Amino acid sequence: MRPFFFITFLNTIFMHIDARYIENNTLIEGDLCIIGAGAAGISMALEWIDTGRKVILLEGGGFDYETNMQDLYKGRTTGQRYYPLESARLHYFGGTTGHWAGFCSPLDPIDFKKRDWIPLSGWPIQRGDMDPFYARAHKNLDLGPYEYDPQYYEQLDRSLIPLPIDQGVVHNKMWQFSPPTRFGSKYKETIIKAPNIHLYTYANVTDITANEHVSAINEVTVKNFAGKQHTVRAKNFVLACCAIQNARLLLASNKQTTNGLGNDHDMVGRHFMEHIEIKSAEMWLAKPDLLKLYMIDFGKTKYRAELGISEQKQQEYKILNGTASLTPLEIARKEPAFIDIWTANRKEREKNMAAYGKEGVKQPVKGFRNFQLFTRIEQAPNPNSRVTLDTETDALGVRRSMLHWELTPLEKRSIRKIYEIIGQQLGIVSKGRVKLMEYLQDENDNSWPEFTGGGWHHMGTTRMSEDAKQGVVDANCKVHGIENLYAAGSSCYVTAGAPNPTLTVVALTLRLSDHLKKKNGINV
Amino acid sequence: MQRRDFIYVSAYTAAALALPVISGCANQQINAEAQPYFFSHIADVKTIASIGLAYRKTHSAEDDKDKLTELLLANSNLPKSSKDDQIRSMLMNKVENDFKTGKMAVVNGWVLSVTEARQCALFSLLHS
Repeated sequence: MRPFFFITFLNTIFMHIDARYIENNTLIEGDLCIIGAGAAGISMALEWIDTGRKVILLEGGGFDYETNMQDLYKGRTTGQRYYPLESARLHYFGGTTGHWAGFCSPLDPIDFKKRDWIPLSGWPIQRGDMDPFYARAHKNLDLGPYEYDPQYYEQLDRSLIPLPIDQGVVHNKMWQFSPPTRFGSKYKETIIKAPNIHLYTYANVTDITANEHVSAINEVTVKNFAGKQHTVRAKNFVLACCAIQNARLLLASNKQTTNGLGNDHDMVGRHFMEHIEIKSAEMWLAKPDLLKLYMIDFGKTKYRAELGISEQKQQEYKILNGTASLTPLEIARKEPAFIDIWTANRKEREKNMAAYGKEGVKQPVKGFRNFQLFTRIEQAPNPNSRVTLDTETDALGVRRSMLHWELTPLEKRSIRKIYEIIGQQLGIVSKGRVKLMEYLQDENDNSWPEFTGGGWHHMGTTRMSEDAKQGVVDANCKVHGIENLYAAGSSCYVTAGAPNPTLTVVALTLRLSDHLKKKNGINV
Repeated sequence: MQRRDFIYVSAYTAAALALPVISGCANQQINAEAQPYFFSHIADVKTIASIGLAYRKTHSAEDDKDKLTELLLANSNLPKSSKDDQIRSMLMNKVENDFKTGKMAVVNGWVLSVTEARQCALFSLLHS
């Protein structure tokens, strides 16, 4: 049997189709087309198994890392120093879950609220709207119960003793750790065996075509390095390619509207947000302490706390929401900044990351006396922080993305204030003192040090708003003005909160899935 | 009060930092007012002196031994004949109260109570 026919035969048994081996200009039709097979796309597809609807799941890459696929993500960066774009996302089935670290925590209620000190804050949904979906997302990510009350964990393990500070000011924000679930390996078989889920690999969407009035999407064009081009038609389309690629695809689909799709108000690509992740301060204790509640042993720890600032204090000091994680100073001082070791070269990057946190410092029996305080904080929505199209095109002819990452003075002021608050609370209980790092010491200095980094968390480029002039998608993640085009994942974030985004990405996707099911007459 | 009662130097900084100070302050009595007691369990003498100097630079009106002593003992209701441990206890309470009321100063990056920043300043004046 010739390979072409053999593969075609396999494709009819398993619902996986390699788009390189089907006839050129194939027309693929379905009820729902999901563009991108990462945490969002796969979570969406899983929800639609056995619904009696034909789902087309399009993945640009295959099942493994390939340099030429990653190259499609390459793009220029300007503004604040950033990681090489082609290294920040993985372009194969499973997406960036192929190298994520498993950090999970829900956004706080305040993250969804309108905060008058943060321009463009306020989601059209609230935390209560998300809770049922967070609980469901836990299953996808192999997490424990949907429980983030620190007292729950303190009761589970009496050795998890919190710092004796006022929880009404500085609270213990809990994180749970996914194994981390690699969506590519965990869900491949389930997806492929699902009769109604048609997974197409090597199916890079390069263009979206709307109807004459640009009020609905008719079809998308897919291409691959085998020189094949196909067309996919569906009743509904979901962009699930991550925040940079979602924006890029909308902007690049500009043959019918000069500014691209969903971009009547020049909002697509704007408000790109990252979590600023940066060494910020030191905590010195009068007596050694284990502080086990706050420690992490990668691959073993299932949950831990970081120090967060209460909603009331955030409001009082008009600061952003962020947390401080603790690492014994002796260890932390040996750890380089992520921004310095996360290089474009995959082998070098993996070597650097494998060595990270393995300095072999022996823990004293009574614990440590000094700890590094490491910040993870939201950045304020900023229209100048944005994804645009570069003039250069990738190997499939799509203009490359260009990222301008820009921070504001509010971020720096917030970090400084967070540590003043923590320092104050430690002072009140005579537990220890906090020392700010040099870059935070001058309150009039708004510059950022070279080691400032992000968490590889891309958010906000198709932000959610009920007002089409303020956002790209509505509260149901539907692109304004286009009746059958949706965005899934972190591109819909209005504000970023402090937590790593994957849990919220999956939860938002499940919420979108329920909406689409209802729209299509499917029980949820 | 003996010098050994004062600065507690953390184990791994002791060797590097304690010797010059001990030799410099040998047989010298240290006023309780100039001893940031809790902070001295955390920071070494060099750090305390350097914080004191920095505080004095940004608070020139307080750059005086008598002024600092007056400010440290203000509202204490302690008789002049008070012993060091009474003064120390009063100042420790004052430090705690500073934090409670937000009376803080960030000096050389350290988030301190104003009282202990002044104690550092006085220390640096007495032992410069």
